[in-house]
Amino acid sequence: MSDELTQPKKRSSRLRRVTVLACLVLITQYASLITAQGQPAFFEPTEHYYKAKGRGIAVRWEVEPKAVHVGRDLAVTLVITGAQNPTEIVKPDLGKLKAFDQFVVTAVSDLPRDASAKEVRFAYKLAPRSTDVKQVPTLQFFYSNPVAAPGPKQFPSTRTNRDVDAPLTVLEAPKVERPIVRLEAPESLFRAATGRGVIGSEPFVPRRWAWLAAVLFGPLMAFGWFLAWRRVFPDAVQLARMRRSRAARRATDAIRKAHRAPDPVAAVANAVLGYLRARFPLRDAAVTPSEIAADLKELNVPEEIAEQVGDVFRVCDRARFAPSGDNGLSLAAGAEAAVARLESLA
Amino acid sequence: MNGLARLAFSVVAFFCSAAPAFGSSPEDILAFAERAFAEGVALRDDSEIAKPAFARAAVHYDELWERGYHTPDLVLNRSRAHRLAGDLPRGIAAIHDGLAVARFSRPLQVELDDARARVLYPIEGELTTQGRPRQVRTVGTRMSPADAWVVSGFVWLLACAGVVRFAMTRNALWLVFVAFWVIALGSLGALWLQDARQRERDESLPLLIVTADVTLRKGNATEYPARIEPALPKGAEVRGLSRRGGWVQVQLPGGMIGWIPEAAIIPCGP
Repeated sequence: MSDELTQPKKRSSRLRRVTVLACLVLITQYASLITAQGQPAFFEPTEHYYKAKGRGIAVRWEVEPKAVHVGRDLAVTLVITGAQNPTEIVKPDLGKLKAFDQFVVTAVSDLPRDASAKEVRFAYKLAPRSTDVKQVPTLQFFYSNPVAAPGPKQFPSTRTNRDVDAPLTVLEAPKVERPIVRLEAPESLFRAATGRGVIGSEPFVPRRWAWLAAVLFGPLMAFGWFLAWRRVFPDAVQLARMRRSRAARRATDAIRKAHRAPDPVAAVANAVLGYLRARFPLRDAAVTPSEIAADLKELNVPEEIAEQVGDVFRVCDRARFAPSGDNGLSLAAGAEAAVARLESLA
Repeated sequence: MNGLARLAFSVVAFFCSAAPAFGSSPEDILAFAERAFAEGVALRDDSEIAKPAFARAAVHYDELWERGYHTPDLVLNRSRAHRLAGDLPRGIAAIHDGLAVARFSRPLQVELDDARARVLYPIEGELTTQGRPRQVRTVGTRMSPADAWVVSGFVWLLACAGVVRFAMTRNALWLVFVAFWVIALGSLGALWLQDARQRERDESLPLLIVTADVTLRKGNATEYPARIEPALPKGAEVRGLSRRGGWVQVQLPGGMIGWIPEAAIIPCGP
């Protein structure tokens, strides 16, 4: 029973050993291949291989035109003949190839390919960057030969420009005249203010004081006008006051100038009498100091002032008819004081 | 050697044209601006050469404005230089800057109307209705504060003179005269008050100028649909409401609200 159980286990472990051994042999064989030739037996090129299959594939460039200006496009077509799988061939990306750095490569869409087509055509637009470009660069083209034995010979290569170069004449880019466009705008826009005024002061904006001045200006002007008008056209009271003040002024002036007169005392007396007659309705008969004082009292002049006025005339009479040591100056001062006191009554 | 000489000339020319804006006197900057503007005018037959000259002039005028020279003449020069340099939005913004200082200036109003007419709104449609700014003509746009000061002072003077005439003549007609001028003064004051309130309401939101054709959207991302078609033209005037994530919520003059990228606007005005 135990033998029956252990038999399959032994068999499976033997099978496992054989399998491992076989794998080791295979790996060893494969490794020897790599070390011997440097590459695997099923080598497939990493570059310039575009999945084309065939026994004798040929590639060539078709370039139109042969002369071009710098920066202008050339119509370049890669023609592949002899391929057995036209629909599977990958279009070479020339923009990624270093040899084509001297061109600006523009991809152009191609026509749909037919599986039975004898040739495949890939179109490009190449614009040379400088006049140093003399031809379309050679393109190396690996393909797969399905009848070749496995190994490097399974992927032969061909190239364009094999028999003939594809010469190019690249000319300097023609100088394009820049279109000159006039700046169109309303004529007023072309006028600019000049001079210091451009950075002058800002527009005047009245502040609070300016508004206050405007408010006060009207009433002040009106009041001034009113005062001037009242001065030009005074009323009766004012007229009387002006008249009175005029008489007093005249009398005072005369008293002050009396010392220049031949008879200063008489001049003072006359000045005071003239003032009294202009200011008070004295009787014509009142000529003596007592009569004048009496008339003034009757006209409601205070007795003291009336007597002071009478004294002025008495002193004048004394000075004229009985000259004493009194000089004209004290006399004039007394007369002026009397006039001033009378004027203050008005 | 020839190349070196050309390089040296370029460096000198660059500093001659650009340096004045930095640290020079206002007179120097003004002189450079005027020279650049005159150069642009002289070269106007070739717009490709003339525009950079006007752009240089605009930079110098901007510098003067930044330094606080806020005169209507400078505003006009600044706006014209920007417009001739091909930058209509900045031209409009310059006029609004000026109107914030002198909104009564008639030349500035005319210039703004002209600039607004160059903004490429559709001939008709909702965008035109919503987007075109409305002309506001109030007492504040027709009369400067200085004019108002002179006029109101004169009217007040007439009223006071009427009172004096009445005192002189005792003729009641003079009281009617006084009443007329007092009413006129009151009306002028009321108009100014109303204008000040209206202005306060209108200008409570910042004014923004659209610098590139941009779609007004319903939200602050390009995934949101357009609020209105077609796109707002450059030079359109909008009021800013709020900002979020590089977008600004704006209101068109017609009242429509939407979002535009922050990079597509410049601020201006008060």
